[in-house]
Amino acid sequence: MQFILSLSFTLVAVIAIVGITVFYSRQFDVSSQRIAENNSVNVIDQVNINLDNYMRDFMKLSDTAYYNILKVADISRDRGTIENELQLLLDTNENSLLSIALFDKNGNLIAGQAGMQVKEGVDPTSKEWFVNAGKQIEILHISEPYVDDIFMPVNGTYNWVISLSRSVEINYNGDVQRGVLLVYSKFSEIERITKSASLGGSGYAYVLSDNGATIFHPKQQLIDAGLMREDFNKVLEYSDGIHREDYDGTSRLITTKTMGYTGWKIVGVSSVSEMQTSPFDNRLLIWGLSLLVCIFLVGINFFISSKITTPLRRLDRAISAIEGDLDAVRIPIEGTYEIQHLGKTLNSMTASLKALMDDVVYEQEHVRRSEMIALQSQINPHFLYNTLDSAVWMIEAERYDGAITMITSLARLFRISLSQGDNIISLEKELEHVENYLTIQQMRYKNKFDYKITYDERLKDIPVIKLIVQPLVENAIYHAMEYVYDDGEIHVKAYVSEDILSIDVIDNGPGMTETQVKDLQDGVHKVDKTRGSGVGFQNVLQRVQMYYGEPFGLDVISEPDEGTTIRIRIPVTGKGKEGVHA
Amino acid sequence: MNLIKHIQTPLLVASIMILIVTCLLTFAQKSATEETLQISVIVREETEDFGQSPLRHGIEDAASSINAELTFRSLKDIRSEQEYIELLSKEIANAPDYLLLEPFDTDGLANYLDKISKKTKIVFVNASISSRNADAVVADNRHAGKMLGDEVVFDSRGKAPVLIIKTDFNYSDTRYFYNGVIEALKDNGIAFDVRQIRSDDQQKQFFQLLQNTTYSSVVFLDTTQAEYFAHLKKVDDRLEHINLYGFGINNNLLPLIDEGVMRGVSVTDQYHIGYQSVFTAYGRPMSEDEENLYPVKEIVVTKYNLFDSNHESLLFPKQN
Repeated sequence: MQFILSLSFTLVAVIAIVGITVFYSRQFDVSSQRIAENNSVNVIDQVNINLDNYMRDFMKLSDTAYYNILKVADISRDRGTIENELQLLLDTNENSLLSIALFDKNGNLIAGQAGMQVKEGVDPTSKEWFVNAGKQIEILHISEPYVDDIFMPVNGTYNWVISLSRSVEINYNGDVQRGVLLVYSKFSEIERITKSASLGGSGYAYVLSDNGATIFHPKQQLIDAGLMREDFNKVLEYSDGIHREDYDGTSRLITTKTMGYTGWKIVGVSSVSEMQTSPFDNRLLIWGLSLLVCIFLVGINFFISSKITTPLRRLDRAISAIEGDLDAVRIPIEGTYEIQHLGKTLNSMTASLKALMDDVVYEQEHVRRSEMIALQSQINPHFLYNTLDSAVWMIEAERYDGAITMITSLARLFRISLSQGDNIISLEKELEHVENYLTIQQMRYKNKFDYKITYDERLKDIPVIKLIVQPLVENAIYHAMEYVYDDGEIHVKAYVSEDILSIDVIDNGPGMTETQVKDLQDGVHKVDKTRGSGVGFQNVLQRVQMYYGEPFGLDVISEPDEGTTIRIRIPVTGKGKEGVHA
Repeated sequence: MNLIKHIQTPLLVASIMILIVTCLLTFAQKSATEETLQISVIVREETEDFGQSPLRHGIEDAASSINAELTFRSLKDIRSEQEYIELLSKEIANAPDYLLLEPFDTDGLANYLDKISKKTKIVFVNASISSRNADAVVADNRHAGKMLGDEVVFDSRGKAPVLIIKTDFNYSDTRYFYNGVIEALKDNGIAFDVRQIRSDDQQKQFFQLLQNTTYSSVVFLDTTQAEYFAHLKKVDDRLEHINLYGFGINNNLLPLIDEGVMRGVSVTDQYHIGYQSVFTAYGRPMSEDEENLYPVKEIVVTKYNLFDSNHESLLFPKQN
């Protein structure tokens, strides 16, 4: 019952929890992916803002150099001042700027920071930034990153730069000529901003120019070494937003954003499987918690079902015990109120039952005792009368010895019959009682029969219920010796075989037919009121079986003209059956 | 007492449940966390911190992608096979998962490596020796030497001869490179001399070599020697008309190439070699498309192609 209860509770709970967990797990996947996508967009937006700000600052610095320093000065007169101011501008923006240089229309360096020197053999006018500035004088030209190849490297260090070039007007003592202002931005700043994009473990951001050239890619060396591939042309075709693509056997998210002035495209790459790593952790947590709840439920179910069923089980055991010994029954009062109430009721019921049964037993015993006493009391009163009458007759005939013997035997007979109220006497006493009886009857019947009593002395102390042999001897005298002449014989024999004490009353009378034997055993025996006490066989049989139980009793062995043997069978222990007291 | 008796069972059940769940979560966490691999790298870098080394960058980037920890050892002060074996023994005692090393080109070391390679996966970097149980990641140094040789032939325009300053050939890449140069010179019928300069008083030995023969070009197989004589060329007129060539690059050689002091230098993609050597040791492909990956790039850098966009990444890597 506990198992069924636990199983039912657990199954229902587990199914509900698994259902909820699956639902929330899926919700987690969807929302996690959405969060990751939004995060990716936000990250790339932030990179865009930072790069945009950086480029605006870059252009503002160029404007400052041009409008605040160069345009208001005369290069032929103020070269030193210009160089100092350019150096100051550079120093105040040293984190982002690398160089500022002014070239005339022929590519000659006419102003720049201290120590700046164009390499020998290098013609600035052939450089793309110079050519572009000359072609479109009204706009700022921002280059793709490259290694500075026109200035002498400082300390042998070659720098990656992004150049901003513009056509400028240079005042030569009132003569305005065109030149080119070149500002170098440190590429490392773009690298720093782009690298700051956090797109998961293997996620990264890179920047492409509008023609597909790499501005920055964190894995540029791998790409250049041919150890990694990126399909830049495909990415260029993407509109701003999120796109999913398969790459190298894995699925990844591509987030793109196009920058305003430069037209550069910022690309965020994040692995879908890594995005799902976080949901996986969440799912693990959810399933872990579900498992925890399930285990708790199993425990609680087990505990509750145990609390319910254990008292019931004990109650059941106690109720089963009622069938056995009521005295040993202990009904526990525990569990829930209802079970406690049930226990109390059963306790009360058991107590009542026990009282009733005690009453029944007492009454039955009382009845049996009464019956026993009644049966034992059925000693024929005529026998007493006749014996005393015979004694009187003997005295009148001056046969005093006989009278004395008869009276003495009668006295012994009654003494044993009384036995101080005991119903159980020894075999020796019982047979002594029979001998007294036979002595009296032999005298009354003028030695019409002989008798003998034989038993092993070792059996003399075996307890037997009293007065069970005498009625059978009485039957033998009245129903067998009546029909013999002077050679009548009654033999009383006691012996033990297989723990059964047998007492045989054997006569050599006319015997009985089979029908007579059956009638005798069935109690159909016709009692001759004038010739017997009216007790006899059935009296003894009832008493033996009442006291010792059904397996014991009387056997009748008789055939016509062959005499009769009535055998009493009782246990050698002398103990009566349970619940019957002598 | 009664209370304790009542809560005993629930407490026991709860404790067992918590224990089970903790074990499960710990197991899940442990399963989710990959074991960190230990890779030991023994290479012939000049300094312990290796500076701006593309080889080291390649190894570090690859190690980072497979969650491996690196230990670098330099062969700077190792001069003999015995010292090399002692260094290896110490490193092997740390029981690394993989060992990346530039081996001395000797039979003794090959035998020793054959023995230890049964316990530790070994990958040769930049040089290969005849070992049965080790893979090697190397550039085609013979081809690199031939490319430089062709450049020498082109620049010399029939002027002869060429002087080759050789080394002890401790490393196989140098020997293969040397063979490539010789092959190119022989193919084009350019006369050449092969000489060796001891480490003491190199300048004197070098000019003694130049006294007897007028060489159009000198090819250095050792980067340090190339750098030394390039600086010398800048200040010594006797070297003005001699073209200098070298094998291998460093930051100091770049301005010398830029200025035209060094006529040409053969460069192999060390980042590629470093990166690939880790994955070779790891035993997994770097990419599904690995078969189509490029071989290790070899170029000859001159003043005229130094800033070529194809060479920028190799010569001026962006990462710091």
